[in-house]
Amino acid sequence: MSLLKQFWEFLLKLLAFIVALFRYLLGLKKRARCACPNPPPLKKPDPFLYCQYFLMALGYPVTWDNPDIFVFEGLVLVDPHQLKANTQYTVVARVWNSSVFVPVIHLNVAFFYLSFGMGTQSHAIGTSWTDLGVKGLADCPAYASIYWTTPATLGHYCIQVLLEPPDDSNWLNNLGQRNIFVTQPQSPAVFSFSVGNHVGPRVRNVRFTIDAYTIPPLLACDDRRAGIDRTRAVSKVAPSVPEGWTVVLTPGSLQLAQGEEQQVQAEITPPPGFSGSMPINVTGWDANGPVGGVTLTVEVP
Amino acid sequence: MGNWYQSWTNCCTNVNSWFSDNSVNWYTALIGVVGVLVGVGVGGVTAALIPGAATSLAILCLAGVYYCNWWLNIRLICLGGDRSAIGAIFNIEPPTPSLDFLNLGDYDTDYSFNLLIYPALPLDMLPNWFVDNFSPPTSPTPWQLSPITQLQAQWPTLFPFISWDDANLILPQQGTMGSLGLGFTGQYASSPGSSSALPFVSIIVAPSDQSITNGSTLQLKATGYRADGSYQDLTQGPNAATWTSSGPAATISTGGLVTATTNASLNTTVFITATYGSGAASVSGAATVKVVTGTTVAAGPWEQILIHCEIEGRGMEDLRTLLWALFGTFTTAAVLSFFPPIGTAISIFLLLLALLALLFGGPAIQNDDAGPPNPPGSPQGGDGWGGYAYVDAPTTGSLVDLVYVCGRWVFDSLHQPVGSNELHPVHYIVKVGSVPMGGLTTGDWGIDLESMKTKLDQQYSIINMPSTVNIQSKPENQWSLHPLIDGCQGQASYAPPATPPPPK
Repeated sequence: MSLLKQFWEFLLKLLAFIVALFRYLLGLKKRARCACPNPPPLKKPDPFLYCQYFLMALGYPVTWDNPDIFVFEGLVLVDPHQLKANTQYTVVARVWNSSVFVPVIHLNVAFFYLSFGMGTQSHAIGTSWTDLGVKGLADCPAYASIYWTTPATLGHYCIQVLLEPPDDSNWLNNLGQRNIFVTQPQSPAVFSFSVGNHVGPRVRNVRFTIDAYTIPPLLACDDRRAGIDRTRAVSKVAPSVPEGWTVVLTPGSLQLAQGEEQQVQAEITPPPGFSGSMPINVTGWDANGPVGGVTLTVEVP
Repeated sequence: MGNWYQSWTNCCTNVNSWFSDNSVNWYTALIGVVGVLVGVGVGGVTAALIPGAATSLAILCLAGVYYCNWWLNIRLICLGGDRSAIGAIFNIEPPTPSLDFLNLGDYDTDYSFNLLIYPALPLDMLPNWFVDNFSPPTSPTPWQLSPITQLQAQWPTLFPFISWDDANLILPQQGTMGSLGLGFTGQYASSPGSSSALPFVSIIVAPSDQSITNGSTLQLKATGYRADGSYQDLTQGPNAATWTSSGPAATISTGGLVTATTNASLNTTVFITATYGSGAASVSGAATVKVVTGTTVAAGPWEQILIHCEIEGRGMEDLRTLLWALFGTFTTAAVLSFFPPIGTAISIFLLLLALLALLFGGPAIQNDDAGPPNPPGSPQGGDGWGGYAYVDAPTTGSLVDLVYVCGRWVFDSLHQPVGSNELHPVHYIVKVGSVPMGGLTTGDWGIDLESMKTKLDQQYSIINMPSTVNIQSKPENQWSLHPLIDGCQGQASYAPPATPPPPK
């Protein structure tokens, strides 16, 4: 019986092979995949910067203190949460390329600023460009910069950078955002930020998650542990707020009509005797995924 | 790393080792005839069909292998290493597989496209007097240097925006192969234009001002433009414009071919007009043709500022492998047939097997072609970039791909209709931008591709260095998400820049 079944399965496979062969000969082309003798002759660059939305889509925790966006006043690096009104700054984006084959000459880089918060409206600063080399060589990373005169009204702003290459193997990792606010607690430390709905006609129900993730320090390459596959070694679990800290958001969730923006207040209380710096990431989510986020840093001398 | 795509061809560095397709056809036929005669001889000696047929078929396979060797190793003439070019994908020429295993041309599975070299216009064409010098000769005549030097002298007035170095990519190379006296037609790809229901608002006739010698001919081209920027070739065919001449010094055919009458008064200027439609709705364009003294020259082919590029498929290599396998099979069958009856039976079986392999293997090889560099949406399909080839763009707003290509610079002696310079095989190709088809028609490329080409040449001179692989394989370059997340700290610092780079 078993032999008969095996023979029957063999016949079915043979029939499927003959059908596939005839379809192939009659014009059905082979699928484009790496195993083909002649794979699609396309290689593409992959310009990117630290992109919170892409990393979150992969399940990784993120910080909104973007390590690839910098602000200079003159020649001095400054904290983006302490910008003065009506003052010219230079915003710099650091851009990487994960392709070892394809550079990007004249990579357009668009800069925006937003009200401090999540899902708020962006305003164009302008567009600059840079020449990005391939992974491991001199022009990678490359830097793009632009002058920005801050609005006349004093306030806290987020900075957004969007890469606009002519071609890309991954279009999802081109948007980076730096949303950071630092304060020293007056027991408790109080922050406020905006949450907006500028994406569509539907009501946006926003909830928040809170964690204490920071980008961990890198291991030295000659460290034996660095030799392992780091991607698998990177934790997908964000560290929660340490014991003794309290974070209270008011309101704790939001329902936003189209075009509406609401303020959220965060009260962060450190444990008694704490000194140092503690970043707290607040990320907003709606039914479609992340809305945005802010990193609120408490510094106790 | 310098070659992204596999290649199976070589090119002749010494032109003395090159010989033409005519010669190889004769040699191949000669080997085939010898094979048939030997087969008949063997059949006669043994008084049996199988040994003779198998012997003939084996030698015929050798003839095929000989032809494949010519195709792969002799056909192309090296013009001097690798060259790069930058421009717009003008049109694509995908391979055309068929079920006909005897059609040798279908085993050419290279994927070809023509690149409009920046900053040429699609309508730019080399002057007839130049192209005529390299028209297919009745017998090989060594090329003269004078047309090249004359073209070079006139180049700044003919095409002031195109560098001579870039243009030289598509011109006959006197020093390398001028002694062979081959025909050279360069590249011309008809541009049927885009469809639109709007009427034509203007007609441009090219060349617009030309002198021709007494008794000579000149091919004109009429292009009609609509208000939305779309255009159509009106030179000839069912929708052609009506051509008229203002005087007897030059006549004009319905297909736009001007002939200067032999007894015309010299230095006479005539106006050639192309008219489309009738009455108040008609539009027209004109060109002036001056009849001058000189040797009579027939109108040759057109040559645009296009470089032909080919990504190689392995069709001919596979065919050669198949022919070697068949040669072995037929030889075995011939030997076994001397040992009847079992040997004869096995021989018949082997012959049938070999014929089946040819029947199914041929089309399979033809389908194993190189992939396309252009995107879904264009008529030929593909899986790439999001833009169109120029001639496939459905509207003037459709984006045409701008690319940088590097490949081996060769002359293809079997290029149709005669010979042409090519980048063959393409080593690598990178999309560098896109531009609306309408912009390209009027020369608005939107970006300075010349400086981009210079930078890419510099980048790839470093990327292709052997030491680059070592650098890129270092532990600090093994990240995949972001260097600060899944990388490690090497010698380079990840600290912010000390000073801000100046904005561009």
